[in-house]
Amino acid sequence: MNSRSIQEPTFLILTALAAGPQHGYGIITDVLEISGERVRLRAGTLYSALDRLQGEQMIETDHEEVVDGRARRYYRLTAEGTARLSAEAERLRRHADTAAARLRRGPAARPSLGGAL
Amino acid sequence: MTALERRYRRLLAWYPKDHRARHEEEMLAVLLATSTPGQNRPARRDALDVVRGGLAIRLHRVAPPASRRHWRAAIDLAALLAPLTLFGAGLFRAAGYAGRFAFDQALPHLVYALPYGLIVLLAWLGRRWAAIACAWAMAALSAVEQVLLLSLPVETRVVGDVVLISARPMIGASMLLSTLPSCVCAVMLTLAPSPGPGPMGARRLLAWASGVLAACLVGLLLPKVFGAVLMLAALGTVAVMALRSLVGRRTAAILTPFLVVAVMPSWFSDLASLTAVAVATATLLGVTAWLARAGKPA
Repeated sequence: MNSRSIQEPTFLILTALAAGPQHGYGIITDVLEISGERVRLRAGTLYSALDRLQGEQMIETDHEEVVDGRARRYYRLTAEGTARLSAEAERLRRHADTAAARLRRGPAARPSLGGAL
Repeated sequence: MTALERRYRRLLAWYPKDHRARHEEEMLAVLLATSTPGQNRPARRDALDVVRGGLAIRLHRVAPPASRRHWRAAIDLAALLAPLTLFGAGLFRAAGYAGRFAFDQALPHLVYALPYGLIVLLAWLGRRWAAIACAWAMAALSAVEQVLLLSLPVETRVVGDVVLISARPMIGASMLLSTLPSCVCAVMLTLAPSPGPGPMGARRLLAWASGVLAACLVGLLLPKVFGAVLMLAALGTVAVMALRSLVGRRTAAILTPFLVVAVMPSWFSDLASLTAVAVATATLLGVTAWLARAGKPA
């Protein structure tokens, strides 16, 4: 499995798809909600990411439907995509836990170099 | 079809044909869904994002991950060959002046060549930052030298017993011509993730480089036509060998504008053609650096 970290927009796209298949506009609105309205994906960014993720076999087409005369394609996570997202979520969780624990302990608990200098 | 839709369709022409055939309607639906009521032209940021997305997909297709490894090896090799070429060209010019005139005529060329020998050595030994610092120092020195020369209205050269005095036409072209190779060399070293011979191997690179330099130096001693044939044969053999490998072809593509300016400065006497070469080189290096980016995170 690839151990490289995933950039935030990609992580959010994969997270949006973790709940189930979604179409392009659905992913944009979901990412906006997941990120607390901080990450607003635009169409060019979304579709270049989807193209890359399909190339890396992390997502695939689930099904298509026609709405208002236009094709609407739904995407879903593959087993590879699920594994990458889960590994990345675990990595981020460990970092967040460490940060939270250290913040709880406060600066006094951290080793100081003052005496050694 | 509304004016907004027509404009979005025009922007989608930036995407590869197969991507458009598969995703155009879908992207259009997303673009229209995210537009505001009454909007009749794409917002500038949306338009830029659509174009950027199309270019990203095209570039990603030009360079799949396997190809990126070759580009990375190519820019690593080019970053070593650039100072090596400046070193070799300096030695060649010094030998030429020493053979035709006197050693003191050759000295400035030798002095100019030696730091590039040091840069090659540093890059070869993996001292990347030291090599980069030296390369930029040489580029800066070359620029300063050109600025100082601006204050001299004429150029004087001593050839044998004769002092040649000539006016300095094309100050801009001469400045660019003198600083371009050293700047490109510094940029290449800066962009290369780890300059070195890579898959070519140090021994093979050394053997080929020594062979070419030796052929060129021997060529100087031969009568003009035979010398030129020998040099061209050596360079041609290297070019043919390089073009036979994937990394070699990419290295040749990266180095071509640099080699033309560094080895054949007399071809560029006007500012327009030099500026064109400078822009082409900058574009080429920018694209190569993008292609060579090691394992871009998903």
